[in-house]
Amino acid sequence: MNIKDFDFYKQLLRKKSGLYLSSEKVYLLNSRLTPVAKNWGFDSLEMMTIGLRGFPDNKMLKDVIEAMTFHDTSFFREQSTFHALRNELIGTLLKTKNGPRQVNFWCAGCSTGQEAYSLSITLDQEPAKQLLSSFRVKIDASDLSNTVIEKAKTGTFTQLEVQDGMPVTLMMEYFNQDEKTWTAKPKLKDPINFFQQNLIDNMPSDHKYDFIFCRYVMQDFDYEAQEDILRRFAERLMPNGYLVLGMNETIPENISEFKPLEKYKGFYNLS
Amino acid sequence: MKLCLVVDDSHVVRKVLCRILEEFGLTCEEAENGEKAYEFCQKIMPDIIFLDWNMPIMNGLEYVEKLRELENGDKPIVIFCTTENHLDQIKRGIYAGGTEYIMKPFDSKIIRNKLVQTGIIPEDLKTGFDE
Repeated sequence: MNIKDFDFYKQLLRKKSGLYLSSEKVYLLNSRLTPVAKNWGFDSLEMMTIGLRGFPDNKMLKDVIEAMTFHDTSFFREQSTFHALRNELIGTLLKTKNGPRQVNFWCAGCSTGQEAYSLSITLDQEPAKQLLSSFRVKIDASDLSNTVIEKAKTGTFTQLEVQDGMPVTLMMEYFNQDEKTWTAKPKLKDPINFFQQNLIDNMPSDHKYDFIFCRYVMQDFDYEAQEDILRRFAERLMPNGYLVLGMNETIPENISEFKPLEKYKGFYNLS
Repeated sequence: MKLCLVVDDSHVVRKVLCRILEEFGLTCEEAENGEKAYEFCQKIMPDIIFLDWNMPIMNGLEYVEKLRELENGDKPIVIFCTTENHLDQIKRGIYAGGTEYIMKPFDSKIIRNKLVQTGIIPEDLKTGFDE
């Protein structure tokens, strides 16, 4: 792909989704976009690019943007985060909890569901399970891409996917095998509500959350969009709630809404 | 440095596994079946064992059962790495003494995650696999 076309796709992605496409990703664009071009009946990617420049069709744009969104995910990514949640922070949260006996999670940018299912497993493990036994647990899980949300809803993973990050004993306990695929048991799926949502758009409801998980999602957005998203998260978080980012992620300096927990890397309270 | 014994009757699989495991800072030794592995462990007990299931002379299941009876045989982390991919087989492997289980085919990311889960390497280890 030539530089002009790359810039075209870069601007398109930025305008439509706030996502930032770095130049290292150029080699991926051909392989991601060629199937989209074929689906829309173009002879080549170049032809589709010409078409998009001339008469951008909204449905085609949607397919293009989905194809350019990169999903790197695994179960229990950074396991110490799940450990801290299960052993410490659920307990801390519940001590200060008033009102309805419900604990709300939002997994923002959930990709094909690994993060949401990891969360669901974690909350079914002790001591979190016992602590939460008299509470209703809800996990909202959203992603920009409809395709990944549809896959996430099935709870079905390939052999390669299911063992990526998943301890074997948990796989044995929480998944059913069907020939070459593995599907999450209903008790894992029940608390999760998957839906399509672009983080730079308004949420469909005004729910407040006790935990917002958004790990290694922000890095794909440009700076402006990151600030915008973090401010929205602050509005969506309960006063004693936690924002959970990747352990190697940082919050831009001029965002004063959050303060990091010293003891647990990646966890933030409202300031 | 942690010592890893790679047990597989395929020379190629042993080489591939050793190449990956050495990248994670482990020292590797090889054995081509359960019997050879058992003899090795009677002399030196490894920290971690990557274990195929189907091998001539002594298979992985028999080997792990015998290993766990040895003095200090409860110490090593045993990771099955095999084409046996049915839930019942996986359960058999774990109940016989396996710590973890990898279904072939695998990639270096899966191996890395298993090593982190079992506490062999730290979560933030940087290697040549990281771009």
